[in-house]
Amino acid sequence: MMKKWLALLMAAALLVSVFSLSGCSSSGKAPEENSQTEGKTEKAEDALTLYFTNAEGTKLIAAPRVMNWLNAAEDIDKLEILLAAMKDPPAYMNDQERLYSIVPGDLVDHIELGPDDLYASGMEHGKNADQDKVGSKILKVYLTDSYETMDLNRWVLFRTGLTQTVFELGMVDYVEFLTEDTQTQSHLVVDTVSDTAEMILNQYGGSIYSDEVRVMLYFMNESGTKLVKEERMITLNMTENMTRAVLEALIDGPREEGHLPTIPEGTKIKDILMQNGTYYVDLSPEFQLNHEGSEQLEMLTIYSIVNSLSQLGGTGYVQFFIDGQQVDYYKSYVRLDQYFTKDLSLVEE
Amino acid sequence: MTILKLQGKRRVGIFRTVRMRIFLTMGLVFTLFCLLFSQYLFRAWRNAWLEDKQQEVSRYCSLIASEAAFMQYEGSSPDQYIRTELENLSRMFSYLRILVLDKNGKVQHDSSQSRYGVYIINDEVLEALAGSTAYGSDDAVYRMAVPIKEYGSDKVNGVIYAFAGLEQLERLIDVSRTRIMLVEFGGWIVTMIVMYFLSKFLARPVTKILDWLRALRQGQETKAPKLFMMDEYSEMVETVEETSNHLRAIDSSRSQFVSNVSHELKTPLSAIKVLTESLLLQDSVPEEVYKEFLGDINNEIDRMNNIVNDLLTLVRLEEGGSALNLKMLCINDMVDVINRRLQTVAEARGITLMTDYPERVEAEADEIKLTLAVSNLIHNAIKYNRENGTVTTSVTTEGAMCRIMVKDTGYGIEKEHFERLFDRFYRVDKARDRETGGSGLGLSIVRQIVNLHGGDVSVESVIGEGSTFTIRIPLDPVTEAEVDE
Repeated sequence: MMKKWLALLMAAALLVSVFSLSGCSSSGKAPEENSQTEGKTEKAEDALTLYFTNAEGTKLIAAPRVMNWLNAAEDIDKLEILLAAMKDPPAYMNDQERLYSIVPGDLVDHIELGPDDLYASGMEHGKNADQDKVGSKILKVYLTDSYETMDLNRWVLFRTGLTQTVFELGMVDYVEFLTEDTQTQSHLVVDTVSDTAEMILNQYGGSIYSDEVRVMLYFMNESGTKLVKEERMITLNMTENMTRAVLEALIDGPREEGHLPTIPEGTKIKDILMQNGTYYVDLSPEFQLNHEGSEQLEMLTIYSIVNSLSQLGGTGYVQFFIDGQQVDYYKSYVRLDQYFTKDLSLVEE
Repeated sequence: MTILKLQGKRRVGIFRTVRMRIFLTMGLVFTLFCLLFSQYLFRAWRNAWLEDKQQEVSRYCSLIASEAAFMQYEGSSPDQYIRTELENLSRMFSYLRILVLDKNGKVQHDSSQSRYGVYIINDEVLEALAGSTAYGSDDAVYRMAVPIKEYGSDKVNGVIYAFAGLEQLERLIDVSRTRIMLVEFGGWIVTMIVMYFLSKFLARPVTKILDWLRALRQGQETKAPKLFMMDEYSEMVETVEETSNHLRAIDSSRSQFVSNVSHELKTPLSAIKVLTESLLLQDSVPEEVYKEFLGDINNEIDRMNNIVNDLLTLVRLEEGGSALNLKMLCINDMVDVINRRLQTVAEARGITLMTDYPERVEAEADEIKLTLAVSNLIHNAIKYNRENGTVTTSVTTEGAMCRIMVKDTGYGIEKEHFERLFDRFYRVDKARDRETGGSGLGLSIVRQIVNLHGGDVSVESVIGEGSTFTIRIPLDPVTEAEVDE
């Protein structure tokens, strides 16, 4: 009886430790953020998160590991050690699942560490040269022919897992994947991953569909002559649509002092359609009825909407409907039976 | 006051009526049923609905994926046509958020237009990239990742990652729920109304019976209510009706009796009154007339005395207080004694008393009472005989019974009188009867005595030839009773 309890207790303790470990690992690359500035070469060890997968290659499983750099003279040696460690999964991560490497045995031909002179000059590299990468540290991963026949999920696993760990180490800003063109004997970049790319790893719910977005809204200045910009963070949850959210923010009015609302009071959004990149905005009659009129004010109202929506992608064209109908004139000056496109000349500098 | 209170309608509390009880019971049961069942039904419906929606999402995602494949999506920003399609889809289903990921897991399209350029890597996406559709769900969302394959091959070029917000779905459900509740509530009200009338229908027999009983209590002649398809209630009504009829018969026979007694006593009294007054009002009445009148008065007093005596006898017998003093006696001897006693009366009318004893019969009986009964019969036979007729008394056994038959040669009795012949004060020929000086109670006494012995009395008669009265009593009433038990 005692034995049974003891076994249970131990199992529970094991479970807790496993959970806490995986919890730590999922918290990402934060802990080593400042270590790179304090001289990474002096450090003998780094606690890193390595990634492995299941037999089917449908999971990216994080496993913490303390990397020993004793035999690493150069940075490239560390990366070689890292790659070797990635090929060597821990025997069993937990009771249920055996871990497999995300690096197929013959995929990686060799790795190199940039920047090389070509990147430094940024000129002679020809079409592969990218202005953003000038002066950046780049890990170049040369791939063998087996890249061509690789399953897509295996590729994504490899690409994601490798870059995540490498970026966590904090040595490089880009990872480039290259293959050899057998005919020209030159190398082609097949994929590039930047450490600034936003990555949502092994998360499902809210982190994917809840989002804070920075948008630019256009309101009116105090004298009613020009449009003024106002930056705003908008929280989108689940199915909330960005276009609608921006329009609602415009109707709500400005928050900064000295800015005036452009949309007449009582206006309601009936619908927003997007067809072939064009926005069709259907508003309630108040949009028309409650407007004061005058050519300048009409223009400002229309373009506060058009300019705000144009930043959201699409072709930037906007067409207005009132109560589901096309109308000839907004009030008396601006024709509404036309497509509008962004006009920044109305915006105050 | 008490009588008035009894006569008036009793106030019945509304919640104590049968109808209300039926209604409330039915209502309570139905309401409980509604509450439980509607909960169950709603849940079943909700689950079915959610499943249906998930299938819908799945269907449309597959549709988009195959369209994207057809439009040769190669993992960049999707074709304008597909985008419009996605746009329409997320507008059509307000709970739906759709992402299009390229072959690296990077968001290329977002129906909410916010997640562009973000990499989403999890096992659902990876499974889709591996070529099969992946599903997932938690408290808030139902997820689905569908691979976009190259047209006509297994090569995966991207993923449609769709989210159905359960909260948004619930909002839709709430709308339907309100509608369902309204319909349910309407149904409940209609059913309750139907039940109200049904309870009225079910309780109607009670109300009817009660009204009928109230009328009965007030002495009104009312017909018993006709109840359709209500066997228990009908039986109840029948029983009450029988009881009431029986009681009424007793009541009417009592008053009949009292009126008969008064009547019987009044006749001799008025005769005495007339005789006395005529004597008093005449100044010189010869002694013979006095004697004659006083003799008549004396006769009338005798008659009254007879009546009163008979009445007392009858009442004592009817009360049942007079227990039988049973002993073994020879019936033949008893009849002989009676005949001897009535010999002089018979001779006065030239009537011959005869006996017919085929056997000697002994029976257990109360001698005094049975003698009274038999002598009443023989006395009647003499009284209502023709001049020089005969009265034959025969004694026989009939199984375990002793049979005493008194046969006369009188005028006979019409059949219509048979039934009431043994009733008190019943006379076949009212005028003639009084002359004979009978009290009208003789046959009643006979019946009472025979009944006390556990026997019966019957009459047969042929007009112009005479009547036969037959008494049957058990030879051994004790054993009879035992056998009965």
